Amino acid sequence: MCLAAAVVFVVLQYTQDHNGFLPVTTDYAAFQAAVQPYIGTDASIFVSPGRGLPYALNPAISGLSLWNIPDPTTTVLMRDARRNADGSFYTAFLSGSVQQDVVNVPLVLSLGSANVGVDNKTHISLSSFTGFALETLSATGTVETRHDYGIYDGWQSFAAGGSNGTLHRVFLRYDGTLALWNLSPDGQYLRDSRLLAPPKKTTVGAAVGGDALTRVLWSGERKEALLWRSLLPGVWSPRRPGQPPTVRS
Amino acid sequence: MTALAVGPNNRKYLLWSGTAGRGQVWTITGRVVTRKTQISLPGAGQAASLVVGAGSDLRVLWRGTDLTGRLQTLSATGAQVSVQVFPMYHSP
Repeated sequence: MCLAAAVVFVVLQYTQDHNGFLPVTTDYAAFQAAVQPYIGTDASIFVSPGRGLPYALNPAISGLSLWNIPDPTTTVLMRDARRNADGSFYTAFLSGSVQQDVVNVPLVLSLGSANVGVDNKTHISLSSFTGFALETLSATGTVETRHDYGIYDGWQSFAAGGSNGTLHRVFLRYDGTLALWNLSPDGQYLRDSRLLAPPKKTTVGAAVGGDALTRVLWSGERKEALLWRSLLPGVWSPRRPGQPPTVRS
Repeated sequence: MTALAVGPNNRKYLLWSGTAGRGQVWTITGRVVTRKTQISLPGAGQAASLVVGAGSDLRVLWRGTDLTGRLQTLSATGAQVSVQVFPMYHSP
């Protein structure tokens, strides 16, 4: 709990020095880099002592002005990614308070990417700490269906639609890996594939080709890009085996 | 530039995000920018994502500073068709 409170304190210090704007919370590495000057070299405060996992940050508040947060006392900054071995589960709020076993706080939706399916409908990913949902809207913007998928240990998602009507979602997971979800055209879960992301790369998007395979795009610190595709569920390979294409701008 | 989409006519669409509910969508045919469409949605924050429908209609996802989201649907010429608001969410 003390470590969570320390991270909140550091984030509020950062915010004070940046005209009230919060650091990036959609990318854990970028978050750490942003607040690193306020903690020195000790990165251990970013890891929950209970499970040894990084705290789960709230992606919905990334880069926002603190003055635009309606109620910091009920807006989550981060929480334990998993319940701890001793049964505790801590949630830290933007107001600085850290509470145990909070089960019914107002959370905010983090809008993921949207895509258009073969049916010309818009599919949107919505995620929060309590799970994620997919909404399907008509071509004129009317919500038609919503599927809730419950708690998942990944947050930021990238959406893509296959030519066969399947929905593809790529999630960034707390342990740094990626998960590819394949869903049927009506939103039913089909399968989950895992992928270890290339080191020091940021996932920026996903797309599906006419072959129904998913492509994932990464960018690197030196403005290079990597494009990978999935061959079969759970089996990934670079476009050129052994030598991913690198594009430098 | 915040998003890239490819339309059914194989044209490319670039989304440029400004501040305070403003942005631009560029339509690119081949290598030429053939249209620049101003988009706006007061109070909507920043344009975050763009997709193009079967009729080349534009669908823009906005992230609001008040923690809400909006899906704006526009015609191919940029006229607003509808806006769907995604409010704050309360866990069950």
